Amino acid sequence: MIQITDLEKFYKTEEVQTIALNKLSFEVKNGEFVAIMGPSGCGKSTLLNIIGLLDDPDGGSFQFNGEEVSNYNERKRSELRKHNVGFVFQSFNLIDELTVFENVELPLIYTGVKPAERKKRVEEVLEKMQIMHRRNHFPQQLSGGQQQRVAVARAVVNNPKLILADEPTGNLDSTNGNEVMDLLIDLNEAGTTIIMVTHSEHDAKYSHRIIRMLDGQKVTENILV
Amino acid sequence: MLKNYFKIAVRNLLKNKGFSFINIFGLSIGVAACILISIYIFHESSYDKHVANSENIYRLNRDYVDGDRVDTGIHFSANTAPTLITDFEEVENAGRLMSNGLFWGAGSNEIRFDGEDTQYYEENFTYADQAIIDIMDVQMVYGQRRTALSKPNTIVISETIAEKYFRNQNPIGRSMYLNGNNERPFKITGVMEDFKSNSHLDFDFFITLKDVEFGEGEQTRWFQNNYFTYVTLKPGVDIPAFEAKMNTILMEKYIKPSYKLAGFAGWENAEEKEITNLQPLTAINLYSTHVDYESNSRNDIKIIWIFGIVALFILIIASINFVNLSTAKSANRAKEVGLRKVVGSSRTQLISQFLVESILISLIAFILGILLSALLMPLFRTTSGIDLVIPWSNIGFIPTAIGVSIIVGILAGLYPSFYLSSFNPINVLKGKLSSKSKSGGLRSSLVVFQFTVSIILIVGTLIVNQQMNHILTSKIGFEKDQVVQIYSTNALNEQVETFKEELKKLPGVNNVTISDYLPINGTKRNGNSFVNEGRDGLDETIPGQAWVIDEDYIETMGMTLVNGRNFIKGRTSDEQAVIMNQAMVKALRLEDPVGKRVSRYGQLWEIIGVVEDFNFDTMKTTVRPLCFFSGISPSITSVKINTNDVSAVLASMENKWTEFVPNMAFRYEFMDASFAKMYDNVSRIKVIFTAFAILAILVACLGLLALSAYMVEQRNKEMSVRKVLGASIQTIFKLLTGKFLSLILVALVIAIPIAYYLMNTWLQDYEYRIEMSWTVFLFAGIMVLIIALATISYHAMKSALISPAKVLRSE
Repeated sequence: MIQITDLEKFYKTEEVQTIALNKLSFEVKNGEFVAIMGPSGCGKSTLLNIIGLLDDPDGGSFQFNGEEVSNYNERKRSELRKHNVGFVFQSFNLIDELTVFENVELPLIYTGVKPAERKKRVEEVLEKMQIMHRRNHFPQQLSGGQQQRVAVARAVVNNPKLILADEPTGNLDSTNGNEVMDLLIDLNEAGTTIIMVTHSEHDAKYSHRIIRMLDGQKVTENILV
Repeated sequence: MLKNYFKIAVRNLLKNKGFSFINIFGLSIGVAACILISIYIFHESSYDKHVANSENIYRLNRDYVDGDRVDTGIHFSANTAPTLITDFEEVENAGRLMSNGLFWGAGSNEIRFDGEDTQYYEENFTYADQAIIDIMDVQMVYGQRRTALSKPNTIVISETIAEKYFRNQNPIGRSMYLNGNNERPFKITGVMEDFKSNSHLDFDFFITLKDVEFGEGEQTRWFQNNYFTYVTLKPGVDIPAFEAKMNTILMEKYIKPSYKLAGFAGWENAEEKEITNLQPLTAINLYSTHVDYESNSRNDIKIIWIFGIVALFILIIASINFVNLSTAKSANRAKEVGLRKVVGSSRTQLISQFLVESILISLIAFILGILLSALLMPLFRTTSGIDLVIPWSNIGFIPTAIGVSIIVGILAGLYPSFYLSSFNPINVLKGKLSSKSKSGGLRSSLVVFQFTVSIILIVGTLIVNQQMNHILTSKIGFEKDQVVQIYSTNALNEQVETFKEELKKLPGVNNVTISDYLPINGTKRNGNSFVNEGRDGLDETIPGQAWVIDEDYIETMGMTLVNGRNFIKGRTSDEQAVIMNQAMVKALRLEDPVGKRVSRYGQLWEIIGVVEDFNFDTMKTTVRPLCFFSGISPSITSVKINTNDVSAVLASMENKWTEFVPNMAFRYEFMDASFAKMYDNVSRIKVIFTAFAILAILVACLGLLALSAYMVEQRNKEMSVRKVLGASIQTIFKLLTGKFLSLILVALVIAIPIAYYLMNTWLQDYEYRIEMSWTVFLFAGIMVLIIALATISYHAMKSALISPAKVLRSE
């Protein structure tokens, strides 16, 4: 599904050029659950942003489903992203002005799904995430765990092929964290590819494969299953 | 999608109540100001457009050229209009109006209806041709429009007058008597609809000009100019070509031969000195400030422009608030933008979303603005003196308002929506949005712009006020205070002099004079020609006023004789004497005038005195040449009083009046009030201008208040750290207010030269004007600084006093 070859990314300030990704290469197959680990500043988030089509690389190749996307413009990337990728963030990133239902509904609006169909699908996914009873609440009225469940619901409502999770349990206590991990496992088992950036060895163990990074390069790769 | 945008827009409005209030309220004020001014502008520029065929109707104007000086007049000889019809195939119709109160029957009269005894006083009389009714498309309530004024001694009255005296009755066939003249009844042949408020004509009585002659030869002389002359041209006439032809034919065939016959000097090249133009009917209201003897109620296209620009600026200032507040609080929206992008929104969709929000705000503001303008309309009506209404019934009004509100919403929302939608989702989701973002510079420039405009308006207001006060209080060559003008004293006939003597005896009365010629607009005026003795036909004549006064006039009016003596009662030689003003002495180039003689139409008058120049036109122009002649001109008696108990004097004067004329009301006016009336229009403009200047600064300050709140909020952490490190409250306060004050100072530096230039240009219109003082600019500057400081202090002080522990903990 994802084929990355010699991927490069630099950050420039007036005097210093920082290398965020240094000729990084790896592959993620359909249905895999990959964890990416490494110390702060090793380039894992940069990598996730590039894979999530939020950022573009400075060099190398990035193929998504066999198609070279590293040179896509913003419009094409946005198009590809909204149909194929779901995001889960450490800080949930729900829109405060929208209710639980409306937050989850948002990706469907942008992909042009009809209202009746939207209602059905949002309710289904809320049901699945066991948060249906909170559908008319605003994010501030929920606990952290509940907010992250909404965020996961939003990430999956469009049935994306790929879910990118950036430290999904970082802001949660262990009980809530485990619940979220169980949700991700369920999704993976249903066929969704998941790439997760994490600091937690505990969480990483849920994955099939752990890629460890340092200074923009892959250092080791452990296959767990 | 739209529903979603709408929903989030409403929730955002409700969430940030303060922000929404300032945006919406500020914009509503701007909108209300714009609506009121627009209605005013539409009214002023709609003059006479309702007249059928108005595009082919013109008034004749004549430029009198004297070297560099051009005076424009609107009076033409009686035979001009008929000649235009007979000699020019381009002319479809031509007609005359004669409203000069100098002539019996025009201006104001005491009236009496047949079969009644009571006299009533009425104004707004004019003589008119039947052609005027045709040209001006005057509509009739009663009577035949085609023939209403076609017979001698007929009169057409307005609907208002008909209602007043003949409630619900048809007065056609009744007769009216003017000023007690029972020999000459006028038959009412028509009741016309009242002139609309946007008509440059405003008369209640049309007396026919059929078979009327004001003195022998008046109807045939080409140099006796008493008539406003209007023409309807055939469609498609080439105006410049027609003007050239008209000038040539009138001059060569009629005017020059007649000047030659009368022995006027310089008749050979009269065509260079008197040039007749056509002024479109619809241009009379806004383009006649250069015309002599034009009504005071004419407006000025310059004023229309200034008001339009002020209205636009208020709207821009309010829209700037929107731009500034939206970009300043962008941090609050950044996360939403990032997320929407992540879940699939394109930039176009985000731009649309923010535009929907700004259009929504604009629509709400327009609705409130329209309501606000409806609320303020009665006040605006009183201030402007015009019967304006919100044009609810006009089908274009609501769609236009909606259209404009959408345009304003888009224009104001454009920059914020491009700015907000440009956020990089990675940065904003990681909270890496710099608080010193690119938009800071733009915000500062916009604040500078807002305050530059406000300062210019404040300086403008101060100088307009100073100039008006200067006019109303400066030395004008006569004393207008404590003078009572008693009207219609001509009704006393030969008893008027006895009445005057009786008044003199009353306690509190200083002096009394009888004359219709007063240095106040609306009293009698005339035009005469003067030339030095022995120079008739050799020197060019000096046009000047010839006022008939009595021996008490100069003292009662508080005028100063600078040379010679006053008229002496009973001295017969004074019947051939003249007192002239300094302007006349100068125009005649007289070195030592007293004792010399001056010719008026060949008759000689001895100069016995020179009176100091006094203003008898508005203060916009220089004092023109004038002569006093001894005699009785009995319609107005002016009484100089000297007392604190004004009402007692008035009561005793009224008693005296009733003794003399028991069946007529005592009508009087204070001279200072009639003087102020001359400047009514300017005073009104002053009030409107002041009000809108205050609005502008209010809206600008609203924006500043909100902007300072956000800025202070952004710097809370910095200030708390500074406080922990030992900064005092004063230091914090200075830090927070310093930036804004420096912006205001920049605005001041930009505004002062612009304001100076603009106001200096405006003052050039006035012959008697104030010197602009630097204190005005200093005052305006200090005022704006104080207002701005007070505005931002609120939030700055709050921040300076907050406990740092609280701020740092929440960080």
